[in-house]
Amino acid sequence: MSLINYFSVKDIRRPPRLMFWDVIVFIFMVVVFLWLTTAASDMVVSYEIGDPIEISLSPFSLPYYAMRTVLRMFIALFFSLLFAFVFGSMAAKNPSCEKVIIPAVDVLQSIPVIGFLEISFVWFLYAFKGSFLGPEVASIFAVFVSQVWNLILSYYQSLKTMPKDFDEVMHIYRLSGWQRFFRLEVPFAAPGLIWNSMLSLSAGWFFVVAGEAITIANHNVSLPGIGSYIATATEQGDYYAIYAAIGCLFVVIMLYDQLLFRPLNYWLISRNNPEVASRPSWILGVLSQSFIVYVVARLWEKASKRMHLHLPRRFVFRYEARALSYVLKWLYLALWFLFYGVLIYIVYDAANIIHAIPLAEIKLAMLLGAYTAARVFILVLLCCVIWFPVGIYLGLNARVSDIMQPVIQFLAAFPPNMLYPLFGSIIIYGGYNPDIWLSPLIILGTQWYILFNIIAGVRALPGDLLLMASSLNLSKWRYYQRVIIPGVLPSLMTGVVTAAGGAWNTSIVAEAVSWKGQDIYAQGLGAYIMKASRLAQGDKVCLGVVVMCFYVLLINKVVWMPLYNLISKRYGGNNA
Amino acid sequence: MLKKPIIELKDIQKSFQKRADKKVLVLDEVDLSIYPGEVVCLLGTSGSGKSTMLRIIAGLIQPSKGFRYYNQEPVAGNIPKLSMVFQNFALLPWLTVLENVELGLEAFERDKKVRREKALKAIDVVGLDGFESAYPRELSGGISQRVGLARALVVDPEVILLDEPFSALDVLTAENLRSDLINLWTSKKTNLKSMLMVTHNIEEAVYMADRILIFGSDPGNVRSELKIDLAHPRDDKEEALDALTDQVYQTITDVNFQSKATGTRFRTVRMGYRLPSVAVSSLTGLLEFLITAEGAENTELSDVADEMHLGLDDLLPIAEALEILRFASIANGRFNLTPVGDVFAKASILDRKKIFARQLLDHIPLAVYVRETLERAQEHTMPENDLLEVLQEKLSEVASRRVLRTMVDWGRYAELFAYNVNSGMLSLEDPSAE
Repeated sequence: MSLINYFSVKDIRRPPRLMFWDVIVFIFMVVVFLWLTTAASDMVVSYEIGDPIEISLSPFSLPYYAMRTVLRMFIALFFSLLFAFVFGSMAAKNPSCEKVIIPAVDVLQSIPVIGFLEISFVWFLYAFKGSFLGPEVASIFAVFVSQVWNLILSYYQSLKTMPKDFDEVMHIYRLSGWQRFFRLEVPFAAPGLIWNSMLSLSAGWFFVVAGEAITIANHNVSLPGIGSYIATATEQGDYYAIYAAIGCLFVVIMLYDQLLFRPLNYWLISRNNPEVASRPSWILGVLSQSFIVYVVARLWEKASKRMHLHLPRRFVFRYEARALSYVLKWLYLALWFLFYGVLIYIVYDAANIIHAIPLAEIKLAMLLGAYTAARVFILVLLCCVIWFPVGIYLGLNARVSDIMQPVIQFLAAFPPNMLYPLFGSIIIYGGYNPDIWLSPLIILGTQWYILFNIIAGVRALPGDLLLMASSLNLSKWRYYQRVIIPGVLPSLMTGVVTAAGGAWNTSIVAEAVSWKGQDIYAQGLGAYIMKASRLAQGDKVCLGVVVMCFYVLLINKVVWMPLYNLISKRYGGNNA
Repeated sequence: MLKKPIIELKDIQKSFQKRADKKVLVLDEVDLSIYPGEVVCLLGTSGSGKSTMLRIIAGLIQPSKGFRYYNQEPVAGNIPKLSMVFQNFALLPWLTVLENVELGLEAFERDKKVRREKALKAIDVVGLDGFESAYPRELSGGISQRVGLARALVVDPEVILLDEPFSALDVLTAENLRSDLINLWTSKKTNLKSMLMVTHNIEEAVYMADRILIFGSDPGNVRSELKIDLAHPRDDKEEALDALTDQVYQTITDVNFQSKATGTRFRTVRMGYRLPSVAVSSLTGLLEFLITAEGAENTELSDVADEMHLGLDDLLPIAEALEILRFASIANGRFNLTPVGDVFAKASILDRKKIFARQLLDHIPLAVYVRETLERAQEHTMPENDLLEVLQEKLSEVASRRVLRTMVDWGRYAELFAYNVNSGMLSLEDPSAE
């Protein structure tokens, strides 16, 4: 709440009078409000499993579907932020919570959640029986699960890196928990949270597209939204509808980028460090000239000041609030037990299911896992080969990369599974080998991490180093061999680790593609899980997911992390 | 002085649990009183625990043992009429100067108008009118610290704690701010009763303090006390101040180098000795300065600090290193160059390496241990972890690493052994030199 308040109000000067921009802002607000209310009320209509849901492929219904999907995304984001605040600060402030939460988040974020989609759907349908809220909540949950982890980590890391002085100031001047939260913790963590929200939304798009249309017990449940639209279009083989959906998504992503993240970024990041020259966004210009916005901001400020006074003063753990701290301690302990209880239950359950599976099946899953691992590995390598020169070129040419940066960022935000049907149709009609030609889809979405990190790595090279290199008249080859490549390696590794992790998750969707009712599968663990879930074989899904977790965690611990540590120690420079 | 102390610490102890079986004692038997109407400076080397003690007074850290009184009343936690000024200012970057100052009042004063009035007054007192709407990133260090001071004053405190308030500023700015602070103190514009300042700058302490407390380390407590009965504002060029500075230096060297007390000229070093983290270049630099200085055999620490612009924190470790390597002895606040030190300082680069190697092998058991282990070992190598393990019997993990790094630095210079940071191996010969 006060995030807006503390950042915005002082930037908005009182404009002279009602102006042209006010009309625009007003119309915009009304439209958004109407949209929101329709979409929200459609979320709670009654529904029984098996009820048919019509998805119209007319391009004119796309805006409505987009609105529904966006609403889901932002509800999920809201809860993700809430979780980040609660669990992030618990982990940062209490060492015993830290020991539970951080490893848990670490594991959970590398688990392929898509595999659990069907299972969670069934559960939520039971929980909200007779209401459309069931599938809605299930789909929101899927998005939430894809977004929440990096936000928790981001908030936790922000709190951990906060200078101790700030904390001491808060204590010396006896500011309450709420004041500390709004004045210190949120503003301090805001740049990281906003950046991670952008990443989270990109991940969320992927899951919302995958998670809106689902088959449960032979019933198609398709929630009105862009994902279902794509799914229906794929089933009917309607190219135009797919193009329309892609176009619509482009517009949506551009809109929220321009309307939300550009202004926020400008406020927060450029404000704290003027060296980061980001251009002021046009939307900020419009807002600061609008009288309506001014009035609303003023009212908001008044209201939130009032609210401050009525909030309980002691909210967060305070040193002298002994009684409260005991309560919290018990709460933490309860949480601990709950966490381990759930964990043991899940492990027990999974063990039970897997125990009943014949050994041959497990061997098959392991073998398929190895295929997928090989696929991920080769493609990550291929991406490095392709993007390394491009990244270095862009990193060294500030002018070109300033132009390209927003384009690449945009591409990164675009969910690659929107394109899968198109690829699928080409492969099916061309009769290409799916084992080879479905593979690139795995890396389509996550390759951008590699490119981003290379560009950032080149940009972070000290200018002195580049000057030194050019003063030595090194040959072009030597220049790259001795200066650029070793300098970029550590950040390249960061990109590679992230991309490889994402690729595993993607494989579940990317190894199984369909077009006009025809399914094609690549040999791999992802396809195995997908096939099993389409045939409602819960035990096989479970096995597949467990094997995948095993591979992801193992490769992380045995290959990526040691390599990452080695490279950052050897080439990282600062401290050996 | 028959006044009653405003703040009093009695028998304070603070220890940190490193591992289950190991406690590190930071403070022990700290007794300290601050009286109304005085400026007290706390002098000590870094790592002596003086900042920890300041935080105990502020109520930010709870002591493991001992009592804390405010106006003769025992207190736990916050003291209302107490505020603090921080070394790195601790201004919130997203708030303007005015808002940062107002922040100090937010918990006490609910009326926004009153808050603003008081904040503006505090800003006025420190001479910052015109900066109200600036953000911290627009401010220089000196101005930032003034904002920090205004924030401390806005709560109308009786006691201000200052944690090395001038050490992040350049020399001129620091001097300017120091005299302004003293002016504020003597003008009695505020209800301020006492100030307690932590510093490692001796001149600063002598200029500001009515009483200097000298802090020793391992475990930290007040070792010595010095009263200064000179009226404020003082003139830095006054001779009395010079004499006092020398006296403080002498006391500090006595506290830190107790060789004189035990009757030996040098302190002997054992295996688990915490070698000071000093680069060889600093050692040679100081030695070169000592032989060129007037009265070469007998230079005062204060002169060295003055001429080479070294703080106490920089100078004392170098002095310690000189002493354990037998290049000089330190007593009564003076350096006494030894014959070896003299030869070393005048030698060529290659000869210096030889002399340094001999001193290491004669006087530093750790160097002998490394060298002998390497000579005995097959392939003449040894992993650093072996050495760390040996060190950790006596030292904490962080300290062991620091000692290892110093040892590697010295050993490399003396060409006693080589070290590969990637493999973490110590070896007799540098393998990459082939």
